[in-house]
Amino acid sequence: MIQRYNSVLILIGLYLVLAVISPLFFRMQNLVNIFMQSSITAIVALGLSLPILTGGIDLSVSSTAALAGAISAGLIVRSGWSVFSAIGLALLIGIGIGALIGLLVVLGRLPPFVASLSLMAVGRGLTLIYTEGKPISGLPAGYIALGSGSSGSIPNLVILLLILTFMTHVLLSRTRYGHHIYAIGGSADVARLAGIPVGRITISVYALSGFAAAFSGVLLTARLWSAQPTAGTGLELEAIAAVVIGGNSLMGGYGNAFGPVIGALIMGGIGNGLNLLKIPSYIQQVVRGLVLIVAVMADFRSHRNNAAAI
Amino acid sequence: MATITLRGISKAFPGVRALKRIDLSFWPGEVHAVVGENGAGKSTLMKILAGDYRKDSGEIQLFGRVEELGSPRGAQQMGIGMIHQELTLLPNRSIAENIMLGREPGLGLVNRKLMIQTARDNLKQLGLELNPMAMVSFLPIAVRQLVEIVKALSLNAKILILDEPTSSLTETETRILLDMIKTLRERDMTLIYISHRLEEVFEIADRITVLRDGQLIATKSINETNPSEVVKMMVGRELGDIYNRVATPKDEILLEIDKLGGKNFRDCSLVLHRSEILGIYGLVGAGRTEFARALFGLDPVISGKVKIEGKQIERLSIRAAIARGLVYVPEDRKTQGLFLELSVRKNLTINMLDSLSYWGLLSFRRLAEVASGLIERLKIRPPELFKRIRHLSGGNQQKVVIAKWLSVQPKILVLDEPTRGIDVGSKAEIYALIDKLATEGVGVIIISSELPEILGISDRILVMKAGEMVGEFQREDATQDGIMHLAAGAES
Repeated sequence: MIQRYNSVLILIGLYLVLAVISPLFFRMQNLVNIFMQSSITAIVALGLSLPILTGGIDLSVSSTAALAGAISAGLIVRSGWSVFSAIGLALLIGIGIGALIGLLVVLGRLPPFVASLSLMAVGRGLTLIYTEGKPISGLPAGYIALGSGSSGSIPNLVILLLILTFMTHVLLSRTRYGHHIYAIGGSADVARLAGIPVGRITISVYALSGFAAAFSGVLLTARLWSAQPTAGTGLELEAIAAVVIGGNSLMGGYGNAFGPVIGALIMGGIGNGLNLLKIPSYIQQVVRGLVLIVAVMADFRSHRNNAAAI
Repeated sequence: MATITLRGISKAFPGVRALKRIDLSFWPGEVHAVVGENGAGKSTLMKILAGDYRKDSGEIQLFGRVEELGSPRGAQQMGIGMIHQELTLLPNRSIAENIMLGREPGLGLVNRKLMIQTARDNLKQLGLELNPMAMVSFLPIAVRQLVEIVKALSLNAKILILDEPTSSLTETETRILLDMIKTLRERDMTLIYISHRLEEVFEIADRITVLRDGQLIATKSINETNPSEVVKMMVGRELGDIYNRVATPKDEILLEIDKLGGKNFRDCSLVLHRSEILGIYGLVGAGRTEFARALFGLDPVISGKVKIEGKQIERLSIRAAIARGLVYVPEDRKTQGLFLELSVRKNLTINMLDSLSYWGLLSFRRLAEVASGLIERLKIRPPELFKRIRHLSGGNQQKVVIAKWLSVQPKILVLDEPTRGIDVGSKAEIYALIDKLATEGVGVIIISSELPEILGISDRILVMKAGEMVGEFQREDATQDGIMHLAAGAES
C-alpha cells in the first residue's frame, strides 16, 4: 500500500515540479484541461476500485466505455432516441457487462482476470460491429453538454466526478455494503463465515464497475463530440494505475474512494506534463507502462513489509 | 442437560470413512478435549459441529432439541462458535469492524458510534481493555486470538470450539489463553478443545475424548486417565520410547559458526560434529529461524564466519550451502517446503532434476526409481508416486520435505520445527529417521519450541534468547527447568 498521504504528496510534488518545468502548467486553462481529462479516468478508476477492493480486477472497462459511448450515440443519431433513454440504455449495458463478469467469476469460477479480459475483447468487438468501424457524430447539444459544458465556471465533468467520489466515499466508509466489500477483499472465507453474501456482493461490484465504465464512455463521447470505435483504448491501464498510485492495494481489502481520484490526477498530470514538454505520444505510452510498474512495485513492497511486521 | 448430544454421527468421503457412528455429549461448564492423531477424524467432527460439513447420518441435539446446522452461519446462530487454527480476522480492519462483521448496526448506513460502543462492551465483558478502533494487523497473534473469542461470544456462542489454539502462541501467551478458557468455563460455557499438546490438555480439560480412525475410542474424566494412556489410545499400540537414540556423535567437526550476526540475531557461535544431533531451543521470537535462514543464505548476514569441514565459506548463499552439503528444511512445510499441488514423485525429485536428465530431457524411469527408493526408505504413506502432496497427512508431508533433501546427500541437515502439527505416531517416525541419518554420519541441527522434543532427541542443546545463544547443555545435564530458566529469562 502506498500510504494514504503519500499519494497526496506525490500529487503536490508532481504539480510543483511541472510548474517549475513549464510556465504554461499553472495556467487556469491548462489546469481545467487536466481536471477534465483526469475526470474520465477518475470515474473509471472509482468504479474499478470496487472489484480491486474485493481482490479482483476488471480489465473490460475500456471496451465497455467504448461500447456505451457508441450505443448511446448511435441510438440518438441513427435511431432517433432521446438523449435520456439512449444514455440510460448504454448505462444498463455497462451494468450488464459488469454483472456478466461477476457471474463468470462467482458461478463460473473464472479468475477475474480471465473473465474481464474475455469481455474486454467481446466489448471491443461489439463496438466495432455496431459502429462498423466508423465514428458516430452529429450528437445533440444536450448530450455534448455532459462532457463539454459547465455549470457556472465549473465543468460538468468535474461536478459529476465530485458527486461520484462523494457517493463512493459514503458507500465504502459508511454503509454495510462498503464494509462487506473490504471484508471480502480481506478474506472471502471470513466474510462468508460472517454471513456476508459474498457471491452477490462480488457480482454487484463488477456491475458497478461496468456502470462507471459505461458512464465514463458516455462522458468521453460527449467530450469528443463523437463516438469513436477505438475510444478508451488503454483506459484500463490508466485506471488501474490510478487506483494503485492512489494507495489502494491491488491485493484487495485496503483503500478508499479518494485514492483513485488522486491517482487519476497524478496520471493526468504526468500526461499533461509530457505534452507540455512536447514528448511524442508514443513515448508517453512507454512512460505510462513504467509508471504502473513502479506503482505496483511500491504496493507489493509495502504489502510485504506489512506482512513481515505482523 | 447436555448442550450438545451427538448420536451415531457418520461421515464418509470418497474412499474414506471419516467418522463412524460417534456418540458423544458435551456439558455446560466443561472443557472437553478432543484428541487423536491426524486423520483420526477430529477435524471432520468439529467441522460438522461448526456447520462446515454435513453429516451423512446420525443426529445432533442442541439443548435437547434435534437440529440441522446447515451452514457455518447456521451453527453460529445456534450458539456454536469456532476459533479456527488459522485466525479469521481481517488484518486491515479495526477490532470493532471485525467483531461486528456482518452485523454492523444501522440500516444501510453503518452507525459507527454504536458499532464501536458495542465492540467495547464486548471486549470489557472479557476484561480486555483494547481500543476498538485499533487495526488488527498491529495486534500480536495472542491478542488477535482473544479478539476472535470476543467475536464468537458476541454472537452469543454457548459452545466454543478451539482448534489448536496455542499452536502459534508463546508460553506466556498460552497462559493468558488458558486463563481465559477457565473464565469461560466458570460462565457455564461448553468448551471443546482440540490440541496436540497433551500437557495443556491435562492442565485444562475436565474430560477427554480420544478418536482413532474415525471411531470414538473412549471418553474419560481427566482424573481417571493419564497422558501415556491417552497416547496409547491415540496410536492404538504401545508406543515405546519415541526418542530412541542410536547414533553417537563423533569428534570430527562438520560445521563451525563463529559470531554470526544478522537480522534479529547476533554473535551466534556453535560447533556441530559428525553424527551429532544438536538442538536449538528458544521461545518464539528468539531469532532461531532467522539464524537458520541466514546460515542457509536465505537472509543476509552482517557479521561472522562459517566453516564447513574446516573450509571457510566466503559468501553464504543457498547454492554455496547446498554445494557444501548443508541443507535447511523450513518450518512451514506447506508454504516453504512443498509444492502442494504436485505429485509425490515431482516433490521428491525436484532437487535432482539435473542428475536425472539425459541431453536435457528428464528420464521418467529414473525419476520413478529414485522417488520409489525414497518412499521406501522413509516409509512415506501411501506409497504412491502420483498422489498429490496436498492429500498426504502432515507427518508424511514432512517426510517428503526431508526426503527431497536426502537426494543431494547432505552432510549437515538443519530442521526447523520438523514435527509441528503432526501426530505422535508420525513424530516417532521422524525422530527415528533423524537418528538414522545421524548414524549415517549426518550432523543434524534441530530447531524446536517443544521442550520434550528437544530434550528427547538432542545430544547437546543450545538455548537462544533475544537473538543470542545464552546457554549450552549436554544431554545428561539438560532439564526442562534449566532450559526454560535460560530461555525465558530470570523467572520461569
